[in-house]
Amino acid sequence: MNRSEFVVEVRKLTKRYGDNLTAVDRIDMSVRRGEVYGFLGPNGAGKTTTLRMLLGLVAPTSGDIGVLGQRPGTPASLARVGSLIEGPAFYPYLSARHNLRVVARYAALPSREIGERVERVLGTVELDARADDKYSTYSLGMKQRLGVAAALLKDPELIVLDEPTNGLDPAGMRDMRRLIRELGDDGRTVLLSSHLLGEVQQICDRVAVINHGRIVSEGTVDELRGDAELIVVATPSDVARSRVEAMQEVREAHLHDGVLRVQVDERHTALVNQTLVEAGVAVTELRRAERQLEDVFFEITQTPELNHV
Amino acid sequence: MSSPVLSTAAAELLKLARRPSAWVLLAAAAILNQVFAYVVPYLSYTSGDGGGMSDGATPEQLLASTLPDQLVANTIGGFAVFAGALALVLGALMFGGEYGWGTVKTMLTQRAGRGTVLAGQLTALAVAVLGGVLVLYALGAASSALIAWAEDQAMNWPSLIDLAQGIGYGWLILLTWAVLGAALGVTLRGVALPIGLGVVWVLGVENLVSAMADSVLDALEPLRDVLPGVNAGSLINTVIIDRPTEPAPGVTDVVGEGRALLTLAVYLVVAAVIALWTSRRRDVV
Repeated sequence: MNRSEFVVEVRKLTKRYGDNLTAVDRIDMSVRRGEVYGFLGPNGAGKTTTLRMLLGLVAPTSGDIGVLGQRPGTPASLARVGSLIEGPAFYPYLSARHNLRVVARYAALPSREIGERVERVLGTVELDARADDKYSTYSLGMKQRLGVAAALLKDPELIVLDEPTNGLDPAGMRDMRRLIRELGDDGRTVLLSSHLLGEVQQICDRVAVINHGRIVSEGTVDELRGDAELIVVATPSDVARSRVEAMQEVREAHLHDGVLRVQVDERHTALVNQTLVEAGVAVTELRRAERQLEDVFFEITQTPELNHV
Repeated sequence: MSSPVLSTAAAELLKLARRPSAWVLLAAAAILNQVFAYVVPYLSYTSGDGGGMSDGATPEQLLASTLPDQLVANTIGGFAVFAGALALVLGALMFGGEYGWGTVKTMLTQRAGRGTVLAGQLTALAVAVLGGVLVLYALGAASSALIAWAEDQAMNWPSLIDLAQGIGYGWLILLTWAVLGAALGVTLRGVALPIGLGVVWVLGVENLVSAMADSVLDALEPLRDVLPGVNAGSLINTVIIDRPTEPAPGVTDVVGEGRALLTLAVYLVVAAVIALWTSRRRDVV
């Protein structure tokens, strides 16, 4: 793959605070142009520190970062990146409209475009009706939406969103996910940090899992979830297990609480059923069950070893 | 695409124009100036005996101190202490407030680098302080004209050169205090501590050092002569001419005009450099 297809490239990135705390530990990460990339990890894993380094807010201790082919935090990089880092931060005495006008000035947008851009992003996040109310009167969800509006103001190529659904009600979360997905479908690159596994599973093309400052897994959601399992409920279950284990096509089989979980390619499902029936086993349930990202996440964040997919 | 420095300055001025605390500070400066330069002397004059508040001045001297030819002295007289303290608070609010609200990350992730953002902020601060100085002069002019009209006195205004010098010196004095407040705000990443320390310095430490140097401890004179408040007071003293009453607190003659100008300019530049250096080298967490 051509290197220019990577919007974010991170190599051996490390951030230490003092001698004892390593917040980010030699991570490698590549975000491709036009994808929605999930950055997944528990609280304190190093997600926000990494994002802050991508934006030049925090200086790395060592390692290389390229953002849109530029050094992080430079005007050439920041002009093409919209971001919402660790919650929205605006001026409480200003309205949403004036806050966005201030942000547009900081972004050095042309004066003649500011009004139109502000109205457009207010509409995108559906804040137009409350745009003249002071920011201090907003709910957490409205503040979060204003943060996303500010991130979109520059019409950026890369959007970095750190926990954008924090504080939103279920409907707000759904709308936010839809908006993020639309941004990705629009050709923008979205780097989404979250600890909500379902959120990442629903909207991200690829995912990196970070834990204790290290990337422990990176790949597509499907790659991370791995192959689906075959769930078999059959009687007698011990006979079913021994028959299935004897099959060459089966990689692994576990019997737990009367349920047999079989690691086998999908194309061999019928063969498993046929084998059991021919052995006189009564099959009452046979279905494929995909592993949820949540299962994988807990599996890999509890494993200290690196596990690159 | 606009110039990032000017664009940042425009953003800062947009914020400042809608920030209630900025208007409260301007109102406080205006009220202090009007009360002590015009209202109290005029009421003392109308009472006929000086009201016991005029340090031995005659009613005629009190009236003379409020007339248009004293505009520069009346406006700039309080800049060494009271208006200086308020300017320091403004600088601390403008720069330290960004840390309190967490908006520093919003500011620094838009386009401009940290040096450019700080230059834009300082530009806006300079414009705001100049605006404040002009408002104080305008209010003083209005009050003195009103008193002259009411008392049937001559409208002798300062020359344009004296007025320009008074405005320029006043701007330098308040801007120096404001940038010192800004440097404290950036260095201490907040508002409360910079304001507390700054105001204690302006109203307490400077007076204490000056008083001790003047009375009991001559060895403190070199230290006194480099204090920003003392130099501001000395600069003010150079533009107060033919003052019929005692000058305002903080106005002194311990340092000459050239040295006072240079000292204030050095404070201004050093404070700006400290703010820049601190802002550029620290992580925003």
